[in-house]
Amino acid sequence: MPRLTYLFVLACVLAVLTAGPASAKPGEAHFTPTETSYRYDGDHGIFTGDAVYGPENKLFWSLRLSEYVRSLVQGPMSCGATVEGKRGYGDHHPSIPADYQWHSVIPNLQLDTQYRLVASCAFTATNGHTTAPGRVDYSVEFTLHSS
Amino acid sequence: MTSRGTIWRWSPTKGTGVIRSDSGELVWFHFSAFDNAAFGDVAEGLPVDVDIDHTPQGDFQCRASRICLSSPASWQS
Repeated sequence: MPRLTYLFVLACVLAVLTAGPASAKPGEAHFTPTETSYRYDGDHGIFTGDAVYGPENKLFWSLRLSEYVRSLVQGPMSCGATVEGKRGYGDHHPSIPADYQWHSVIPNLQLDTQYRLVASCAFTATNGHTTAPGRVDYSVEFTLHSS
Repeated sequence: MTSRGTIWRWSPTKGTGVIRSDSGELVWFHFSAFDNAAFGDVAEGLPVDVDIDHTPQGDFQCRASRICLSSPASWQS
């Protein structure tokens, strides 16, 4: 029986950034106190980031898979996220539906420091006839600038 | 379709909340759904216009795809 292997990479360079700070590039989010929102709307999903400045600088982010990718997911997904450059942050969900709006908060961010959020979901992929392990990876570099 | 409602619950630590629509529907939302609000603008009791996505989210049967803070005056029309 033939086996299919799906590896879906939410490569920022492949999709269209529909909104966000003027200086933003796909896969790269630059927040300032006056430009606090980032949105990446691509073929494989929608990523949002909202920086909140204050005594504790935070990034609220969310990720939704596109309808196309969701159609390939069979059953629940196991998702996890970490941030390169920041110890102690992690967000893990052992079983969430494909249409779930994954959301999390990264607290205590240093200003003018570049971080990299790495998020991935593992699932069983199907084409309607056969199944195989599938995965979606997403990463975005982000910085909360002081001005 | 846009519905009118009120922010019923808001958790600034999570950036999520619940809108109660005028028809009584409870709509989960993430802050990113707001069109015209700064984080500090969001508060329980505020009137909103909300586009509802009938996709379940956790314990809720639907979620907001787009939210606009609306002024109470605009509700008179």
